[in-house]
Amino acid sequence: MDEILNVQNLCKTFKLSKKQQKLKNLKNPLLKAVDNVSFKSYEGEVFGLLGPNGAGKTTTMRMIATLINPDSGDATIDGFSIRTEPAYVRQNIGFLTNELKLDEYFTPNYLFDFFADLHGLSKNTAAQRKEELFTTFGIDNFAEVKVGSLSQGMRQKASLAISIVHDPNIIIFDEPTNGLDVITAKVVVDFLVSLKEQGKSIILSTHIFGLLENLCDRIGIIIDGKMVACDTVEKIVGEKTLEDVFFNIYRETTKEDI
Amino acid sequence: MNNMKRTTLSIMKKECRRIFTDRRLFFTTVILPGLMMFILYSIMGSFIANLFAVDEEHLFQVHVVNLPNSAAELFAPDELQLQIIPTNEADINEIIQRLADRQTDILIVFPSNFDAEVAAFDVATATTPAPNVQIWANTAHSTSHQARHIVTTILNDYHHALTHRFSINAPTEYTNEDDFDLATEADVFAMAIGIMIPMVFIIVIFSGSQAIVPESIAGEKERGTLGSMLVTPACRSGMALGKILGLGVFALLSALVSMLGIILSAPIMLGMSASNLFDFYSIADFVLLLLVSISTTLIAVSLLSVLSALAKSVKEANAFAMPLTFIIIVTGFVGLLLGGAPDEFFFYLIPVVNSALSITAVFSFDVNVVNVLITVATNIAISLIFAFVLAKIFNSEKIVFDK
Repeated sequence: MDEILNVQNLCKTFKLSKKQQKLKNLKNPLLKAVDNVSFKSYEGEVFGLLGPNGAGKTTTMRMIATLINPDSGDATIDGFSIRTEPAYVRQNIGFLTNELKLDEYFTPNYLFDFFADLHGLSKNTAAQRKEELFTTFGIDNFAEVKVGSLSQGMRQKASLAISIVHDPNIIIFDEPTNGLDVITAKVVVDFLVSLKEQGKSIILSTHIFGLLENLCDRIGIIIDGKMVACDTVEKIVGEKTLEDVFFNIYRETTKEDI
Repeated sequence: MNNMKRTTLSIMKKECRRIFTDRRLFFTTVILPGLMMFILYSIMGSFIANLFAVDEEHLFQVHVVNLPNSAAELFAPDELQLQIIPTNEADINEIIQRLADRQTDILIVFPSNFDAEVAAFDVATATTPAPNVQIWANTAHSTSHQARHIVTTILNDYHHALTHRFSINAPTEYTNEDDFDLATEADVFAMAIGIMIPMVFIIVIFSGSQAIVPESIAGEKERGTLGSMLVTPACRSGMALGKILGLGVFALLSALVSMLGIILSAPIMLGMSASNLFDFYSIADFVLLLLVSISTTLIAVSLLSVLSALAKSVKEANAFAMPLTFIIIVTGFVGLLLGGAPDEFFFYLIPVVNSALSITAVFSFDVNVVNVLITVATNIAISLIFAFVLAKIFNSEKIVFDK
């Protein structure tokens, strides 16, 4: 399989405010969120990032999506560097997180066209993609309703369709089911399964062990900013469950008794 | 370049669509302020004019105690519409009470031997007090206020006549007193409006911008919708320009409607007709005003955009803009402080100050086209710098995740 994502020694340190320092009970205002993280992902593969809150998953995802700059290290997507060719990287990725939302004032129909325009799609291509995705997600029924008036499930469907308006090769999902009700979460999971069936490359971070076990080809476990395990699901899990393996690694790494 | 142009147009169209299709926002931010200003200033003008207006047929009741022969004829002309009512000294208190109760117009009390006291009074030595004439009125009562004005004018003229050695602007066969004032109606208008307009103009531009910019930039950041745009390959400079131009169109419209409201109501406030405006100012003046408006709007929108991008929330963006508002209000008075629009070009290199001075110059018929063009060029250049800074901020991770 061809390599589609190559993450090499990514590092990111944040300077904490005094308030954040107090909250995290830290004396050092510098927090190393991502510490020398490296991994690879291959075409048509689903790569899962697993780790507790604050482990550095989201920071890693954001660096790959070119939303934040790494302090050192680099990553290439389809051969384009996130440091030197961010615009090309953005052309080739779809990024979905619950923190990034759609403007409530507009309709899914308008927003689809707007994002197609930002991605530089021609009118014909955008219209074809819209027809295809709106039918797949059943958006036609509410395409002309303002996002602010849509249910959470409808919004999520619109967000999913818009995140892949440009038919990207690699799609990054940062905890896509976080904060969603079970019905809406199922929409996202079904979408991930359909993308895998289409042979898309996916980078996924989630807390749902079952989803990672069933969907991912390979998994990376991040704890305290460090990649502590990275391999195929079979090799990592072995005879146990992913949940058991994760907690064993967590205990060994943090020396915490949980 | 294609990406930048495409992004600029897309963002601009989105901003315009967001604002122009929101009828409530459009009405409250564009139409209402202009309409309110027109109504408010028109009502104020009419109110001030009516406050002391007196029925043309009104005959003023003038109670006079000890009316001297020398002054009697001064109050006689029919056109003064004064009804002289000789009054005894014993009735003074009663008349004063009637004045307080708004039942009569004025009371004049002369000393009993006024003419003799005037004749005996030596201006040069002033060894004895000058004869004193008391004028009692109730100026909160419109007819009493008007009567006091007439009577005071008559007695002042009489006072000057008794001691006069020379005349000032005495009417001749060809001139009357008013002919010596060379101010035209346009000058009066320019003087009155020139003080008010620059300040109001700058304030409406900044307040119009403040109504939409923090919501559009800090609001999008707060809601996470800006981040959705930043993960696309859209050019950051195009995004910054699109935001500034899209919001600028709206802010400009808001400012122009408010300005129209003020400009159209100003003649009414000054007791003139609104059509006088087009006699006073040429199309070229209005074109210069429009150019200054556009460039000032760009400054306001781009500056507020940068502040909003640095803020974590709409609330914080509005707090950042507060000190700016005070500076802007002071800036509006700069023409007044400098005694008009100066000719030196360097004044027109200072953003916002240059706008206030250019507007002052246009309205006071003292316009220097070169200085106005310097103003426009300076403001556009500064706006481009702010757009560049905004693009840099859009490239910074802080814009999306600094919460």
